[in-house]
Amino acid sequence: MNALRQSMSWMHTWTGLLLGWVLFFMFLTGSAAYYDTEIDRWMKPELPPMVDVSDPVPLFQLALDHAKEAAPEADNYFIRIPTSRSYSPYVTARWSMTLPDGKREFDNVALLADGSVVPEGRDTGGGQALYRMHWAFHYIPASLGEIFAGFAAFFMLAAIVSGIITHKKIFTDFFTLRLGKGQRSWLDSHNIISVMSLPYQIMITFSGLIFVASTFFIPIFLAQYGVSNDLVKTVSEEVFGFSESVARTGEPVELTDIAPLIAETQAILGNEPVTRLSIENPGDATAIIHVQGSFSESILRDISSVRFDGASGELQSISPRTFEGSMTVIDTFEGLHEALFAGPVLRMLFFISGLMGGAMIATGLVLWTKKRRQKLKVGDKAERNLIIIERMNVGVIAGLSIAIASYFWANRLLPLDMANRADWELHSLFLVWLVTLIHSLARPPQRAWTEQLICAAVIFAAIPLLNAFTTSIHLGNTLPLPGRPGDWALAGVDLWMLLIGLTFGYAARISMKKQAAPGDKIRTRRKKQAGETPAPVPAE
Amino acid sequence: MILLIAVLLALPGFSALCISMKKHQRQVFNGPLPETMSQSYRRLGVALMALMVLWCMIMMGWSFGLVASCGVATVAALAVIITLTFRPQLVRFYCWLPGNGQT
Repeated sequence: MNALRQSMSWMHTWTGLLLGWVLFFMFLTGSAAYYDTEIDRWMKPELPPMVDVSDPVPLFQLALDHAKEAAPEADNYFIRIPTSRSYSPYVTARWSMTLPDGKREFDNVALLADGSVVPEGRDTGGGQALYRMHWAFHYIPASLGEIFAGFAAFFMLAAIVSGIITHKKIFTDFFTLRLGKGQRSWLDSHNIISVMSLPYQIMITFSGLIFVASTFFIPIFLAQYGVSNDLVKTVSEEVFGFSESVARTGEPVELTDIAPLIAETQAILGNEPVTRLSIENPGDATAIIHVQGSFSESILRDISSVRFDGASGELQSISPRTFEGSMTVIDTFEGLHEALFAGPVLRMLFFISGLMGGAMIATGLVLWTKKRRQKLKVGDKAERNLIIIERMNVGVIAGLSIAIASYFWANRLLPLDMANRADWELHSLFLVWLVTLIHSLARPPQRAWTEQLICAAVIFAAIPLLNAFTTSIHLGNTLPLPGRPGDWALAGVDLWMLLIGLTFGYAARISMKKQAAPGDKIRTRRKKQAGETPAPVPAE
Repeated sequence: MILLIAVLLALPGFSALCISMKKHQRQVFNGPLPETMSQSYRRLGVALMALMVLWCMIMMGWSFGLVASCGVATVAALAVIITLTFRPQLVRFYCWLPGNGQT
């Protein structure tokens, strides 16, 4: 058993360390992605509030009317009314058209309840940019990012499993956190953060792997279906049940009234709200209308759908969420990963667990350097590498946090008419990260920790203030008060920033105390090793 | 409200499990408790945690409930650990224990 534990300990250390920085990036941006739609709204402060969806039928109707008028020759229309997890908080209509040269052209519009078109708002990456970054990264092709994310997730899963086997006292040390004891404190922190959120960490890593499985399983698809141009189509039909669209006959037929179809679907779906409508071949005898439910009613990343004849309104088929077969396993894990079903409180728990994943990786990375530092002998050649890793840890852990906060600052401070503004918001994130990395390499590690943690505390805590100075969606207007509904989605972003800032402030205080503590143990020990009399080390 | 009740079950649940351990009894009560009492706390802790999971599953359905109970357990454990680290004697209040906990 001890031999197994030792080998697992080796595996835990190296699988965790090798891609630790990448995993930290994925966890931090991924956690932010739980609030992607809230951040989207926060980053477009000039836009009107979310549309009231208590009566969805008129909303569907006005979007369909708008789409018909804008694109009468469209191949299809997709209409969505907003939910708390929609990309857009407005009624959206999207359509596609086949051009004379055979290419397809897509267009869309966002509407308010009175039918007026929602203005574009500022050019911003919003929460979607953070969401996309957690698996596709940035400045590299998304497909390459997906492969990289897959490898990182695989390493993470190996680190989690080996960590469980390595951890001898998983239950007896469950509540044990000994502060002020150097390496022991880091180990305790790493253990309790990992064990407390273990179900989440296993779920998020395994489901992340499932998301990228199709990328890694391409050889299996090729072996099963052979190499052909129709590979994607064949696999989609067999595995996912996607079918090819029906060809138009050219016989013009008026589209049936959608209101009875929505009512009929609502009666079939029960409590699940109708949120989507798609129409194939509108205006043709072959028109089909799909009325769909919502992702919020089930853990499965699947949606109920009812199909009607577009001309007569006759019910053709009902496709409830499937609870059978391997697709259910995939849908369950993908649903758990994205948490589209989660309401505000459950979403907050997911977000906290995600941050704990980041903290688990961060404490693991620091712990590794502490252990190495203790084993190091005077004049050891490995010291130079260790120094670089110690400093890079500062730049990645504290620096990335500062960089993410600067993304929010860039959203408020960059000129609204700036060309490629959304790109520059992200450039700001990476430029600030670069500066923090350079800073961490240039300063002694303990000083770098203190300075960057103070910077993170200030930059996060000041976001609500910056918001108050630059927009009208500040806490003074968004916090719900008696007689005023407020807007928790927007207030929540400001409140989280404040809370994260305070947490960094607390961490900075601990770091400052450590920096000010006389008699650096390691330096004293190393002087002893070198045969020197240790002198009291002045406060840095 | 459902999740709040779940937290109110998980918090004393984890506190009872924590108090049932000898090393934490020293932190919370400045000394060990009798073995029978430790066992009682362990049983109480397990029962409260099971009740919390059951409550979530009944009120939210088994799938949502299971997910929610994991999240609630994480937050409750975090609260107990932070309290135990910085104000260990306060852990007894999560368990509705007055004074020195010798009920």
